[in-house]
Amino acid sequence: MKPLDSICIIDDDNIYTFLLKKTISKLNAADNIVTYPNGREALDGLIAQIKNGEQLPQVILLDINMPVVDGWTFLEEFADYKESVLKHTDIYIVSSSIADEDRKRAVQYKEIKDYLVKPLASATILKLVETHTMAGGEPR
Amino acid sequence: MTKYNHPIGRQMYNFIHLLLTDEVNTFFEDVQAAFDSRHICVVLMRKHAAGGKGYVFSTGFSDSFEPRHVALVDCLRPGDVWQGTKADVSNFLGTSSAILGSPIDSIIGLPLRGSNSYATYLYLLPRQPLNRRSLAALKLLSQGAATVFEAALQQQFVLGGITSVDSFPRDPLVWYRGLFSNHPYAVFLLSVQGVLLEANARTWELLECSDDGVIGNDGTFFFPNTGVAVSKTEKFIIAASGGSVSFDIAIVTPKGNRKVVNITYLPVTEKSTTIGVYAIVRDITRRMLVQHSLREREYQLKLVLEGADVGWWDWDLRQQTYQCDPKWWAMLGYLMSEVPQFQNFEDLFEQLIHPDDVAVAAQAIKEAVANGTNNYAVAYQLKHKDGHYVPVMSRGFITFGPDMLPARISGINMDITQSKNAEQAVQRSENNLKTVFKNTEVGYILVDRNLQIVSFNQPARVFTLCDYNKELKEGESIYAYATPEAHAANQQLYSAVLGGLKQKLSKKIVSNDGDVRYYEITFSPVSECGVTQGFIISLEHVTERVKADLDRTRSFNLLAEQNKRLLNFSYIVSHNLRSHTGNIKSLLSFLREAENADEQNEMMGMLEAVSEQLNDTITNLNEVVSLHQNVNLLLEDLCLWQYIGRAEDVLRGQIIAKDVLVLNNVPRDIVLRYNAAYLESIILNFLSNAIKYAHPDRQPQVEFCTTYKNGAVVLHITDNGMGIDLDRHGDKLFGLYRTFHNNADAKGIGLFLTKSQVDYMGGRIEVESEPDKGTTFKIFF
Repeated sequence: MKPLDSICIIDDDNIYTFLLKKTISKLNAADNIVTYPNGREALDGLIAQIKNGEQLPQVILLDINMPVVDGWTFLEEFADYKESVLKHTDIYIVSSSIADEDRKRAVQYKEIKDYLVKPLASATILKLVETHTMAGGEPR
Repeated sequence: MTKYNHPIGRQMYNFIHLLLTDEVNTFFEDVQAAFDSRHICVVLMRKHAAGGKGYVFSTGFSDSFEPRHVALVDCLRPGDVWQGTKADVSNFLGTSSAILGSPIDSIIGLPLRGSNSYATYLYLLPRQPLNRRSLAALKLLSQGAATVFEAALQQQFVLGGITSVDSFPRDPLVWYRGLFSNHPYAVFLLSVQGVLLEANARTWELLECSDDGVIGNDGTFFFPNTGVAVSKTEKFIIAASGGSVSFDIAIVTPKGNRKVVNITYLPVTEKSTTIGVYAIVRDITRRMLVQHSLREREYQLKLVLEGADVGWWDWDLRQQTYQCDPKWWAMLGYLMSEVPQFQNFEDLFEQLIHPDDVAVAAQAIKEAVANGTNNYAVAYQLKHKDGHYVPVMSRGFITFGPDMLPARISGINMDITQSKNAEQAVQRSENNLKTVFKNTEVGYILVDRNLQIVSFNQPARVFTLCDYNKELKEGESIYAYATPEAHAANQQLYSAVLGGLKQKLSKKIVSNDGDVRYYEITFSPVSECGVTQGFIISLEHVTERVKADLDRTRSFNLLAEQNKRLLNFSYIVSHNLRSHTGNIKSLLSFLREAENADEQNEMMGMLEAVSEQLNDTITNLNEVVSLHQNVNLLLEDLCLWQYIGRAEDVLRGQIIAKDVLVLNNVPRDIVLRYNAAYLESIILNFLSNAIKYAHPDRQPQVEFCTTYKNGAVVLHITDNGMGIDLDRHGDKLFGLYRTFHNNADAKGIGLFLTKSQVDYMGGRIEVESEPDKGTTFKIFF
């Protein structure tokens, strides 16, 4: 399996982020792992990338409950760029919430590929890498 | 007869009593009594039509009629009562009073109506003048008597055949002869054996036969159809033995005519022995026919009146007689056998009519008389046998005499109890409605088609407070009670109502002293025959209801809030606990696969951190749970200022570290009835939040001050910190585990707890904030 160029983790739980990074590295699922502690910083970072013409991460793992700008708000603001630039980026919601409410809300965003529940198993990570590759998303 | 002692009285009586009716006789009895009393002298005078010398027909003291008497008689017109003075007396009588032997002080002259060519008569009164009542009685007596007497006088003159004063006979015998031969009745004299001795001309006329061979007859002539001799008849036998008798009998004349006659037999006595019998025969055929037809008509009338359920009455003012039919009395609960006796109709009226109605009834008659109209109608109440009063409608018809004075009033009475009751029922129900209108708590304003106020009740006065402070007034346009700005809206409203559509609106009215009242105002169209005639504005005071509604809404919100908390709680359980356990799971698997001691130590360190976080989360959840378990909190009087000071003390370290300026501007005398732990926690939370989210570019400042709203204390906590984007986070501000700043200490539990505590105590929190400027929290205790 060819690793992805870049995976982005947006989450305020630094222990979780640390562990996930470690797992991804171990699995060799991605060459680069970018992390942001909340939606605001993620938006700033990613939009800057778009403006600079840089490649966006192929997979974004987005938490919902975060300070300053939460997952939903992030999605709404980021959606403006999705159509043109983000065709090749899969966005996943990753939350420890098993509330139906959140799940239903996630379905309403067509940008969202899937709703995943924490903690992410290694198999799940491999699967989403595979999904991206199979869908013809060319690794850049 | 022996009682007519006075020679003149006896003479007069003897002269005419045989020829006159009982009524006249009664009058003469009265006259005789007057003579006997020697107090009143009746002067009968005959006046010559051409004036000049006249004669006194019969007096007790004078037989000449002098010019001065004529002058007196001339001045008396029908209906007059002339009352002379002492001087008049002496002038009138001359020396005559001496003859009477009794001093006379005044004269009352009463003319004989309709006979001023003949005579008048005067009452000469004794020294003591009559009082008014006696005078009136005398007048009535004389009027009644005068009619009779007038007739008697006319008869005398007819009888006597004397029409000329000059040939007025002085010898009574000539009188008697004249009377006899010219009498309008058949008068004849029979011997006790029934032999006809003498008959007047009228006799032959009546009996339709000639006098040939009848004089000296045994009297069979008298009843030609039966052939029975007069002497054999029962009635004649009574008269022949000294009794007088009168009876009606039908006869058939020789010519075959049927007649009804009234026969009176009067014995002629001399020294206690009956020497003959006078027969006076009157043709009453016509009268009988008239009577019969009258009776028939009376019967019909009676039937009509009975059918009409009315009672009739008849009052003869001259005769002072009255008659009321059984129905009349039945209306008042009397049977004819129980009808009480009254002196006259006036007396009856005085006794029975309701005192309040006397004036009304009298006025009605008076007006009818004054206007010359014949009839009148008046409602009054008459006393029932049981004591209560019966309302009646009385319709009267006035008959005027030749003197143009009312002579007779007759009419019908109708019982109007039922219509009166109906009227009263209507009145009552109207009164009831009025009572409701006046005493109800709902305000009503009645408005007509032209939008003018027709009526309103007391509670409706609040209407004026709606928009415009002006006193409600009947006749005023409804537009006068709204500001010009509201005119267009009102116009639309009123035209909708007048179009038949009911309109409803709610109004919050704040009085000058800040009292808030809620009114529900309904505009209900009033239509008659499909046309809206106006509308009713009803103002219902619904403050209680609205308050109850608000309470309900509050309870509902509280429940919703609690529900939300429960959801939050489940969210925390699912989210926070899971995130920790997820981390622990991952850490453990890394720990297991750790390749060296360093990595193992790193994982252990993280495991410790996660365990710490998990512990914190559980502690927080404990706090939340325990908060919602406090059902009954201890309330104490707490000094707000003191509690703010205490929170400052607790956070002293941070305040100094961040150089925070805390301004406690709360008056020291404000005392809250609150739970001490809650108050401490609330203030501590807000203060620590303010410090936590201080703006990094300026000296942090937190001010505490108070205001009042609806009598309750409102605590303002204003900081100049980072502020919150309320558009974005407003709805989540007080949620559990909601953090909005990238702050290391932010746990997302402080505001949630604070809000819960304030809510629990029945208060609320308001927030105003602008990012980068600062935040003001208002706590309504």
